[in-house]
Amino acid sequence: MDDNTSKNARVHNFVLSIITVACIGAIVESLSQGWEFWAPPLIVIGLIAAWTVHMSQRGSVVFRENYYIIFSMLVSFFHGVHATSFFDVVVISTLLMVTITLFKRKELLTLILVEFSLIIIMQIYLALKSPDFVFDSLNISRIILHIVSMFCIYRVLCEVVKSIHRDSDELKRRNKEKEYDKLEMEDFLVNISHELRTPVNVINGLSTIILNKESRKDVESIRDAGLRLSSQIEDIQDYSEIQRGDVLLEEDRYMILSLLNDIIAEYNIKENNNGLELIVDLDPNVPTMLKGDCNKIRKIIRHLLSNAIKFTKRGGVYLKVSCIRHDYGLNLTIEVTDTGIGMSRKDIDKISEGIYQIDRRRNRSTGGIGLGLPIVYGFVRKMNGFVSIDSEKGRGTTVHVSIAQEIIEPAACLSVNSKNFINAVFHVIPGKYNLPEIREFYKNMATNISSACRVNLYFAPSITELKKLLERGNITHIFMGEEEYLSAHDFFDKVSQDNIAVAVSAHDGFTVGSDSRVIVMPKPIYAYPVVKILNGDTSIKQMPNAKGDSKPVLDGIKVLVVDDEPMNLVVASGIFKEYNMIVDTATSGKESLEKFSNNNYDIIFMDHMMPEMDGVEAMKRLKDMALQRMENICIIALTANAISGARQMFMREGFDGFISKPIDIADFERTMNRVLPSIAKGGDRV
Amino acid sequence: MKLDKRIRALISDSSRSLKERVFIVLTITATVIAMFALVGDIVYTDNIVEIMVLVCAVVFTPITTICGVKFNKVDLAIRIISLALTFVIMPVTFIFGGGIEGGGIPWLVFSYLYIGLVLSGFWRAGMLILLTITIIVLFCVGYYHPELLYHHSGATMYIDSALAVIEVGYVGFIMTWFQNLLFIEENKRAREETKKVEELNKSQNRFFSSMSHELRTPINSILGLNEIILRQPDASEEIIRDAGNIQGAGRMLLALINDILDFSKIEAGKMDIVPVNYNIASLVSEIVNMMWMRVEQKGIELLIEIDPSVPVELFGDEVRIKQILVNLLNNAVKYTNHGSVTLHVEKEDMIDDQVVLMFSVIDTGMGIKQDAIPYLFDAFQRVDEEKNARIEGTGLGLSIVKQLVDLMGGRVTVNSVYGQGSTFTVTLRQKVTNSDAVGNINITELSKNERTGVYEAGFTAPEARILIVDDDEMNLEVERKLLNGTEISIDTVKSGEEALVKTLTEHYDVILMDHLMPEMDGIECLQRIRKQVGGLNNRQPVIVLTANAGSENRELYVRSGFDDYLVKPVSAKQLEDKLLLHLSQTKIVTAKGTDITKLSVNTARGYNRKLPVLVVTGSLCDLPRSVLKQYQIDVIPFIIRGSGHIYYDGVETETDELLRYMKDGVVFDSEPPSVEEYEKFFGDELKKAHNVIYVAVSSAVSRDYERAFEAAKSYENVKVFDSKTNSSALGMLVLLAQRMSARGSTVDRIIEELENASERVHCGVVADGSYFVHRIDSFGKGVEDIMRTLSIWPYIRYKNGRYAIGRLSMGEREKCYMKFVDYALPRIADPDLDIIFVVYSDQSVLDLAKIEARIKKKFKFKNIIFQKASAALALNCGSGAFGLMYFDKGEYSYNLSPMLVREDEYEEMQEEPAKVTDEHEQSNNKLVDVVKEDSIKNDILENDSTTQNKPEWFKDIEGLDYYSAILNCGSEDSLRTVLEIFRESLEERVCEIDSYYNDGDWENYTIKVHAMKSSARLIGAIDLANEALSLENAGKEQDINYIKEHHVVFVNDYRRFKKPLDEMFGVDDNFDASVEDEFISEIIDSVYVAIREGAQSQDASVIDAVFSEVEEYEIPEIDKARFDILKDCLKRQAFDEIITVLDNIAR
Repeated sequence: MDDNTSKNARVHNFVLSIITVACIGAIVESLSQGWEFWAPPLIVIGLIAAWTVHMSQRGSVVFRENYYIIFSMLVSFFHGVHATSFFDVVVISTLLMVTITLFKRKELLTLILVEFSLIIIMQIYLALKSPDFVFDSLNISRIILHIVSMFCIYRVLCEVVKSIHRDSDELKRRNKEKEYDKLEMEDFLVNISHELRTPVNVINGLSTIILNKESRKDVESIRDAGLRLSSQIEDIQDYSEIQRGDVLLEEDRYMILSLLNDIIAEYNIKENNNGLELIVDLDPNVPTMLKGDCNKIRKIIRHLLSNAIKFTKRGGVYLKVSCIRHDYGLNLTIEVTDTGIGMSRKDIDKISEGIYQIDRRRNRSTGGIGLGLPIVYGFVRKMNGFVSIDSEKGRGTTVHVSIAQEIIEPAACLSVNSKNFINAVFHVIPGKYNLPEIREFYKNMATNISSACRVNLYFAPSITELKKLLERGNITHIFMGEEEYLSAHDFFDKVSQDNIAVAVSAHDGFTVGSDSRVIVMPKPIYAYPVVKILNGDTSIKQMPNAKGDSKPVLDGIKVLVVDDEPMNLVVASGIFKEYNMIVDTATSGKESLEKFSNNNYDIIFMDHMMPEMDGVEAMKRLKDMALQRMENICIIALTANAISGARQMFMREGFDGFISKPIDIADFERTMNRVLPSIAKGGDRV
Repeated sequence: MKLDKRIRALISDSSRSLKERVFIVLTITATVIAMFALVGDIVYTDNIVEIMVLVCAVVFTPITTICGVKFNKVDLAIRIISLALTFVIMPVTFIFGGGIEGGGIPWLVFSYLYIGLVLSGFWRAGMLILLTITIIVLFCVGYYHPELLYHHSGATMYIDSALAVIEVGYVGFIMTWFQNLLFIEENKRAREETKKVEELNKSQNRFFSSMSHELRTPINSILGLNEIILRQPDASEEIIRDAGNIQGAGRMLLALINDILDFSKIEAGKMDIVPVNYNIASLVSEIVNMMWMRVEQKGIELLIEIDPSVPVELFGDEVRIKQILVNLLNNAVKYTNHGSVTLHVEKEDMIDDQVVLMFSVIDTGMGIKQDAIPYLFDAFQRVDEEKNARIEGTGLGLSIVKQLVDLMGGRVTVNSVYGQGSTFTVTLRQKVTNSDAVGNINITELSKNERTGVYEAGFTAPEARILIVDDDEMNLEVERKLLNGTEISIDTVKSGEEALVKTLTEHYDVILMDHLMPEMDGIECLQRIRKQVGGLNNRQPVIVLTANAGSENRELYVRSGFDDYLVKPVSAKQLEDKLLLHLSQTKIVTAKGTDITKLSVNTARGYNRKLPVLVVTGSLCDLPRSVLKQYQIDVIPFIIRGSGHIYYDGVETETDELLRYMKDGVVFDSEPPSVEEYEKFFGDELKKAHNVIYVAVSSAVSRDYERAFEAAKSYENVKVFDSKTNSSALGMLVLLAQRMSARGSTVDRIIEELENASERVHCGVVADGSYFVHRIDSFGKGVEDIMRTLSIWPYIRYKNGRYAIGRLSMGEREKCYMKFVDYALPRIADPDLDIIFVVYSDQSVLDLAKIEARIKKKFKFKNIIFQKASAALALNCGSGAFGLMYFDKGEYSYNLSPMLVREDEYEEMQEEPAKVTDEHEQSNNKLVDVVKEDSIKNDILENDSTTQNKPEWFKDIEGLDYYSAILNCGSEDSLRTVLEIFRESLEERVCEIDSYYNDGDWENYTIKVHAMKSSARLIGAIDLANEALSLENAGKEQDINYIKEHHVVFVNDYRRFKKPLDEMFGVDDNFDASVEDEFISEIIDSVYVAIREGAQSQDASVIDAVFSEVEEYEIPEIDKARFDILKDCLKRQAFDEIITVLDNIAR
């Protein structure tokens, strides 16, 4: 029941009650005066009908109001036509009119006035005919007074209705304006973010290119600023899309493992030195491949993590990804717990309502524009999922996200294939963490992995315990932290020689002696490398830098980049040349057609918004040309138009891939990996 | 006169049934009144027939009555009289009394009264109908044939009726008055009787506890003193032999007392079976160790045969089984003079997790005559009275065995050939907790406790680390001293709070925990350690160390989840044994003398880590998540379906989000979990606890109870409780149950209390009518429409498992809210002001503030807790709904707020009233327990470095018993420390207890006085300890008057020790002794070092200088003596001797 109908219902309740009272009065009078016997039953029936209509809310509001008014006019007419009611007519009509004013409709008032006039005329006629009535000055002046006052009342009520309407119109107009302003603002935000993308693309691209050539602190800062700017632009866009309800879901199959790898890699780059522990607890039983909007999920996790980190000074952040299987697939469960300052109930309520700043002061000190959680809420709602925040001020916050996803490949994403007995030791000295919660997080992670992979797990809180365990024999794997390793590295180096896999989770840049067989896992430690080691994959001394999949091999691939903005061309060709691709450029759709007719390209990167011929049209023509030449050409959209659903739109149009500007290296590599097989095929044909 | 007396006796004879007495009174009154009527009739010359009838009645009724009373056929008399009344007297009076115009009418009424009062059952109903028919017939006759009636004159008629009315009125009056009298009397008697029964019970309990205590104390002293005699190195053989006899006799006496007490306990139905996880191997070894000596002495052989396929770990009452076997073995040894006694254990049958074990005790003794076998297990029966006159024992042993076996649902049988020996077989069904085969048990012969020299620690474990928690410094010191030899590093803390700090940062191998401590007691501390987030000792063994002996207490501790149990005062041996049992084998380095092999049998530990009772519930319980987390109340989520997906309530869903989706038109539905899910949930929970209580939502609201109950059928130890209520009201019950389980209550106790509490809980919700009606399918669309158009808000009350719409309110939301608050908290309500829950769905902050203000206006609740409804509940009640939940004020407050309201400082939790203390009370200081017996035995057998004579420093103080002190403290050294601590903390303790006394905080007072009792015992102040004991008991029984009378005396007595102790340690009153002592010992140490250096360099001047330096200090006696020796050596320039002396000192 929305507000309007309930308000209407309340007014109608009131009006009907008054009508009912009046009708009962009429019935009583009718009976006592011995008027027409058939009238009271009819009035009762009418009354019941009125209430029924009202209760069941049948018909439109106007219809119901008309019914009430006609019914009450009939009753008042019935009452008015009797000679004895001569001087009551005005009272009844006034009552009716005042009551009906609540409907805020002027025409109804007029109707009643007309009725009043009719009755009065009839009464006068009756009086004239009646011998009892004396037309003395008193009576005449009384009649005139009634008529005049009735008209005055009518006028007054008309004014009241008018002013009510005026006020509400004003209010409506203002609301509309506000709405319009808001829309305009959001349009503006979308536009501006689009406009900002191009220069940011240039800054990011060029600074990356420079950094690849030489390592310079100042340029690094520029790149970092650029990256932050681009992520903020993205946030603003996401936020305004959520506010406008424009979010579109892009359902696609994805691997949960690579999603997490990306996020962890990103975390390693961004948040290297904040002294916080990040514990990633991926349930190895989550299926390998799922279907859903993986970009949004990535953003959700990213926002949750960065939000948690932002408000945590000491301790750490615990990310847990698990799932609950159902008939339709599964509910993907993402839980981020921090040991930070926590939120009050009020803060949480505000965030869930989409108010984006928790506390101005707080945000100022920690940076960021505070859109993270509202974006999370927006995305999750779009996916029909649930977000719940559980927090205790001063003790930390847990954000729990649950989203339904389809399963494509139900096999567990991580599993231990080794048939041998695995006895792993988790060696962490408990004293090294400043908060007990962190210890608990690590313990949870270790037990979760071990129970899911059916590995015997032992905890060794001190080196002596570890030695005791080793003495007992059967230990196959030891996992430990950097500090633990350093405290007795000779010992561990020795242990690693005798068929026991020793893995150390350490910060970037940590190395072990050349003769040591200790495996170094980059921090944060999580299920993927652990399971890899458990599977006996000890060859990897250095884990892949976890930039998702391997770097694509793009040597010698010929590409054409089409963009009307020369700066973008510089950036794109700069990046592509890094991969040893042969890069050609065109500044318009037309030029690209020309170039394509003269040359062979493996891939064409096409901007969307270009003067004269836009990207989509150019792509279509190029595809036609390729078809005539019996070739297969791969055209990838490279555009700053990154509104949600853009990817699907471009893919529908016929593009083979989609990369948004500013170019994200990971995104680029992923796309390349995906299209590479088809290029190889096309290459064969040439 | 005589008649009057007899009648009085008849009436007041309370042995007669109430009905009879009423009958007699009624008959007498009626007869007397009828006589008056007769007189009246005669005076007014009524018609002769009526007078004749009356005369007959007046004669006939008393005669019948008297006959009835005399021949005890009152019933028959009553029936005859009422028949006569109905068919003779009434018709006659009616017809001849003038019909309705006469005086007969009131008599008709009287007939009804009479029948109603004196008849019962079928007769009453039958007579009622007959009487009615008679009257109708009479009236018909009167109407149709008025000529048949006798007509009086006007005046007669008036007088007649007036008389009749007055007469019947009098009868009525007397009857009512008499009935009332009887009622009062009866009531009084009933009250008196209950009181008598109660008192009897109470006195019986008190008798048990005091008797055990009283008898044990002297025996304790006998055995203790005897032990000291035995240890005297210079004692002659003769003395030792005599002392040995005393010891034997004393121990026998102790065993007898145990037997008698056990027996009377069983007779009184007070013996409980307390099942625990136990290891069959250690059970057997303990029994063997207990029996060894006796068998040896008697010169017979003890054989043990254990079926190797017996499961290693079983669940049952270990102590009782031990008692049974020891009794049987004792019996066997008693009657066997040569040959052997065999303990044979066999696995008979194993189904699932149940095993039937057969324990046989076979002897080669004299056997039992066939005709004696039937009476074998009767109490006080001894076989062959004359022949065995010299055999000791009460003859209760076998009777106890029989009763214990019966209690455990087992069977005991005897096979015997007279003169050849007998076999006692006990068959018991036990639950298996670890089905591994026990294999070959290696029971090494226990080293015979000969008198060896200095006490040596049984083992060392320098790497092990333990924590001792006790609020009493003295105890801490004693325990520390006792473990000195083991090289275990020991941390001590003085309160539960401190312990929790320690367990967060340090890893301990074992934690020793006192039970009664102020603020946080040991049980609670244990629970919190187990559940501590990030704690390092969540699963470490915790041993309770307590002065409360008694099997009921042992049960309490086992239920509370302690891993083991030690009774104070403990001996080094006991402590070490327990530590050996619980320390990781890898940490134990050396073990001298003690046969570790014996203990290493106990390998399957870890099973005892299960909690005794776990309370769980569904997600509808509406408790704050933090509370659920803190108390680890596991919650099974309800299922929320919507938009084709399934979400788990509370785990995944969020109320606000759900309501938002609902506003957007998504249809949701909630459902309790499926039976399979419940089964899985219970299965998981049972891994954590022995018993699970599931508190379900009212079965009227949800199928929660039904499904959970169905699922619980698969498990024996899962109890499902229908809370008959909803939402946070359910939550409050859950909290209550959780707290009770944390404090060690049994499942039955918890369920019982929950029943009580659910009667007291109030749960009301106001909801949007249309939505509410929509959710309930039984209403049509029309009702929903009406609800919507009229915006009706029903007030729903959950009571007694049903929900009912209490009232409808119409109009604006806010107004309805206010009216609902008024409705839910009416003026006549008498709520427990501790706490009220406001469960809300999507009210604005403003709404909530208004609700809060309104509640506060009505009642001054101490805590108003706002709790967002769970998604499942919000789904049931819809947007805008909110509820109020609180308890009625009962005899006692449940006082749940400390569990919900987290303060920075730990708020003292009020002990759960009455019930829990009950448990403590009954068992307190009943030292009947076997554990205690062990402890005494161990005390005696223990090899202490006790010196036989009082040392010089110990000055006799009145009221201090040196021997019992040394027995309790373990060694002279620790006694000294203990005395010092006692002296130092004395004033502080007195102040503390005074402040509790002044505040009227009897609970903490009791705890404190308990602590003072144990410290008094430690220093050997027996009288003082007894004083404290009676104060403690008074505290437990809430006997405030006793405390008030005796408090001052006690405090003064306590203070009395201050001065002599000060003198003993030679300290001024206002001098801080501890600093001084430390200072001096430091100086002395340095002196020794300096002397050694001097001696090594053979430089006498250095040593001289050192001695002159020390001159001005107060040197303790021991050191003074040593100095003298050293000085002596110095004089002789014997430097080598000095060094040897120093070496000795250092050692």
